[in-house]
Amino acid sequence: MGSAGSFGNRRAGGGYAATENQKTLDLLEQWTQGGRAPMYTVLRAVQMEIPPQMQFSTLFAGIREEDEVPKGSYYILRLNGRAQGELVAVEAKRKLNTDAEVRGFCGEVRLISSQREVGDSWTFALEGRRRAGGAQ
Amino acid sequence: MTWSALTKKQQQMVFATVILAGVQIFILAYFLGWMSPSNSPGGSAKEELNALQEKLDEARNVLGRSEIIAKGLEESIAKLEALEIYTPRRSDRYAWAYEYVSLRATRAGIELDNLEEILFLGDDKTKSANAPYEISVLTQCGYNDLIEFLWRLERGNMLLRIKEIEITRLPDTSLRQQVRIAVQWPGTLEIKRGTAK
Repeated sequence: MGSAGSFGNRRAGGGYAATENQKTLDLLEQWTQGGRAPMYTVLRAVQMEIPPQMQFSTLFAGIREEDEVPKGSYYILRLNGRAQGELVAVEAKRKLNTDAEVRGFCGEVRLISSQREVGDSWTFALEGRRRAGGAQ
Repeated sequence: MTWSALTKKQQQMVFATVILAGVQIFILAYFLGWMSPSNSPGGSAKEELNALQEKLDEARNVLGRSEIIAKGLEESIAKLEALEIYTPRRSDRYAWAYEYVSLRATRAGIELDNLEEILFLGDDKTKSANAPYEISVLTQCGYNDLIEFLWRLERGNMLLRIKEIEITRLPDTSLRQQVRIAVQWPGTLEIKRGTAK
């Protein structure tokens, strides 16, 4: 029954290929979903929520491996800059947290430092982080 | 005529005729399948027929399953081929990515300062093959132009992912910032085509 044997082998090969292709498709679906909004919507949301009295010196947005517990990948939004007015950074934090795009990307944004530079000029640091694949 | 009236030779002939007739009846019954099927050639043929029928049913079953598998394989190949155009070609990934990013930068009014391939530095070949393909883009541009550039990058390719973006204010101007963007695509998109056909 040589022909039956080779027929069986072809069937097995096709089954293996179909299974492997489905695995690749599942991985690509995970990749495209990614658990976050596109980056341009996040940056546009930040631009809309930051008051004009604030200027940032650095902005970081992305996904990074972090050593903190629990160890893993985190979606991070970090803003450092200067604000005219003591509570301007607090107001910015509040506005950022009301934005669905921002919250969806990095969870809650926190004011992690605020320091008077000179007169009414304050330096600040805002940060939001959300574990990749976890709850928002 | 009685048995005793026959000569001895006649008696022997009658006896032999009866024996011969009995043997002929037995042989006839044997070949017509009147006896136990397992002991006759006709019964053996039936068994063989049953066995062949079973094999035929099994083959039909295998053929049915094979058609389902072949259909599933064809569908998965078609889906992957539709996605393949969104990933850098394995042979010349950098040029492919460069062209894609550069074209969108020009449309957004941005001049690229540098576009660099991030190579996976590891000994594990399997991990290296499965690692995402990543490039780093450096530019100086305004915030609005940057948003348009990102929009063009992300909307034009469903498998492109902005891994991270870092914006740093330039000391001498507020109109432009220093920008670094890490862009990724899935590392491999291997389509298995099976051995059929």
